[in-house]
Amino acid sequence: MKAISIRDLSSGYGGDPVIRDISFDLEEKELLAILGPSGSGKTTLLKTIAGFLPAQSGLIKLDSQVVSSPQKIVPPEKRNIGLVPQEGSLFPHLDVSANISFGIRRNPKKTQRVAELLEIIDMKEYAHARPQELSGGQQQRVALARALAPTPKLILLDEPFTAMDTSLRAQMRRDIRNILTLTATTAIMVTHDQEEALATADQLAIMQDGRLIAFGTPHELYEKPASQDVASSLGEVNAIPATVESEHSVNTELGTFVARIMGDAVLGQHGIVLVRPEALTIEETDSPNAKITGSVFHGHDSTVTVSTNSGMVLKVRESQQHDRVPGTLCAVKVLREGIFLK
Amino acid sequence: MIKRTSHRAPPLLLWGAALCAAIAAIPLVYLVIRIGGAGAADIWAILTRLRTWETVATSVGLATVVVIACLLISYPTALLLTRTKLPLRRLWFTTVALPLAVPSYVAAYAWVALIPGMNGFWAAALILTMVSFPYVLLPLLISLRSADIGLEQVARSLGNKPVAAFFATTFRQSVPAAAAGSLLVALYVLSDFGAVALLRVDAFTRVIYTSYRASFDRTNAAVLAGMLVLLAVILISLERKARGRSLRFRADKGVASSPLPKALTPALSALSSLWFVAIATISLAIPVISLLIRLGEGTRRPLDWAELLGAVANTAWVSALGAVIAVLLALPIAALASRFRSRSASTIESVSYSGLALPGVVIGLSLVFLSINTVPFLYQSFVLLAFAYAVLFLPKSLGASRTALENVPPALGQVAQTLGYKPLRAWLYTSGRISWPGIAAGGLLVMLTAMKELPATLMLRPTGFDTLATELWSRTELAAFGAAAPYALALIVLAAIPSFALSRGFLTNSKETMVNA
Repeated sequence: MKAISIRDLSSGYGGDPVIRDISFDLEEKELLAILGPSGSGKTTLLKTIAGFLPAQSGLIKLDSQVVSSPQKIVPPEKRNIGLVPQEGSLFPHLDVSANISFGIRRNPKKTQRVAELLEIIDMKEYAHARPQELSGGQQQRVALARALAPTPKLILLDEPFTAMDTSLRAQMRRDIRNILTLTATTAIMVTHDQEEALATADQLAIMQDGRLIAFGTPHELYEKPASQDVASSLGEVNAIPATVESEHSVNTELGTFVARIMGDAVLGQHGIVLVRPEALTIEETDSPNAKITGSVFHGHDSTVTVSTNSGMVLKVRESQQHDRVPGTLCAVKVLREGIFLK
Repeated sequence: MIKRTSHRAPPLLLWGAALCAAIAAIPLVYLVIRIGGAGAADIWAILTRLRTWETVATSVGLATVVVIACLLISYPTALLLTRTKLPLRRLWFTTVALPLAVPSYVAAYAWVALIPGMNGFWAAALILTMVSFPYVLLPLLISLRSADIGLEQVARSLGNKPVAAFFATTFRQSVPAAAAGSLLVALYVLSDFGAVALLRVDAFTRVIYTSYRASFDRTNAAVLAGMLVLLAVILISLERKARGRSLRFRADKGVASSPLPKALTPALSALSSLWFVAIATISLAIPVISLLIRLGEGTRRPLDWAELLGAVANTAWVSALGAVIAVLLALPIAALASRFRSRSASTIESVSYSGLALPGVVIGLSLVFLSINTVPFLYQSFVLLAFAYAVLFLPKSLGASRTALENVPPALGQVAQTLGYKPLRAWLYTSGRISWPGIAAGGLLVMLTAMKELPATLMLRPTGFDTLATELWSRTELAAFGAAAPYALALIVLAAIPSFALSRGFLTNSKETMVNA
């Protein structure tokens, strides 16, 4: 069953719509990550789903009920949607238990529910701690428990990990993912971090300039991006001019190699082939096709920049440490299948 | 930075805030209506009268002299406090903020009680300087403290001598702060009624009051009040500009290194100490001693405690009522301004600051007109008096409430809404609950300030209703200096409370509060 359905949705702050023509469906218990740079409209989309902004056109259905349309807006307090905002979102004047029970004050079983949630977020001993005494990760877990308390149909997470440092983020991602699975909750998370989106989500929506440019599983979108924009929003990518040579190969300056041909391209069609930096390798050779121009060390790997004979700049990811001296001539080879786009 | 939700304000909030702002604008609007109804010929006659322009010259002249004197006192004082190892530095830091606690007419009373017959322009200039110089000094101290000494060091390294380097960098950074402070002082002098009235200087406020008292033709008072408001509006807009620039100078995120205080030679040390002793003597010691002498000397008849306590009670509750009205008017406006940035929101906010441009005497006059002509049953009622306080001091309440509300992240209210709370309840349980101490502090500040108010109280109080300020006023007018002393003392104690909080706030480096004090 669809937990949420959105059709041709446009919304904004009263003037021209900030987001346009958004359509997608999300199944129950799935986690959707909305990925996009700041200004792409992802927070606007989240606020519209929560009911803080009206739909200028199109509609939103929760459990087959229309909650937003140009004619109708169900207010946020009647939607049964949980919200986990960015940092600093706990009520500072209430302790952890009171924060969690904020939405279920009239529920006779609230004590029991709070205890249950404290268990789920693994913070039983913090029931009476003040938000200021908690770490950033603990605060976000409490914020999630608070949103989960009234058993909402859907949870919205607005960049929930922005305030945390890198080492903590991976752990928090796993924690939140586990809690959502454990409670069988449908969730939509907004993020600008591709790694976070790829690692956490069942479904991925990519937004650009207020439009949805891709929707699918992380694997689908990573492996078979429909456009160069989609590919590059999921990580660095090289776009190499290419000509279709056969049903599954292209010819480029780097030679002929295997590529998935997207769309209805014909033999001899000109276009580009997308190749990830980790799908390229550098070899020392007598017949060089490129020259090393720079190298950046990241710790777990490094990115080497090369310039081909025609002057095209490519990025190559090397997981093993080599001494790459700028100016050295080399051969760049393609290791894996590329994606050909017209 | 300030977080705002960028979508449109709920209509109920917008209209509620607009209504509150409109209520706050009543005195100003009615003054304009009253002037407009006067007839062009009458207005022209007043505008071309020599006496009118003598009044302008007196007020502007007084403001100019006081501003210059304040600058001459403040710059050396600020430099000594921030850049030298002055003996008793912390003591002087606190002392220089204290004159703010002396209402101008209390200071004037104390001097007149000490030197009966003291009056005129220069006496008023002296007294007003002594009660208002902290308005220049405190922003200047903050500016000099937070000025990035790095710039001065760069100037030194580029070959400038110390003094030249100071003038090329730090001094320039301090100019906007000094300018903003000077404009506040000018505004203070223009609006002041007590000192100029007691010292018989024919500045705007006194002339307005006396021609209102003369009562057969109040058009003169109205037109003069209009001119005074115009002058005040000009000063306020200039002050806004200057303050904007002074804020820009410390918008840096990095920690500015503060200068190492210089050791003073013994001679310089003694000279500087003498400077501070002189300031403290003229601004604080003389008024207080004079007051104590009068207090000790007693009155011909013993102090009427019942009368004093009655005045205290009157003062307290009518001021408290004013504070409650001010907070009620301020809340919707603050809730709007703290969250929504739109043209209508900022218009509403600016309108509600109109109290800044309305000296007490003008508000008093306007509300007298209004009540006589449209709501006679409110004439000389304490409700009207409380309303005058509310309009006069609404900016204080608004500033405090707005700051308190801005510190609450908007996400909290949204979370409460998603948890099933209707918007108003969500607001009460989050923003309202978290910000109430700040809002209440603003109300308290309004109350304490209203307790010292003189001109509007004189004009609007119910017959036989005496406050501390009016009791002091009437006794001083009768030269009953001894009988006035307990009232003056009570007023100083009252006034000391917010100033004390203020100077504490300053010492713990709070940057904003004092400018609105």
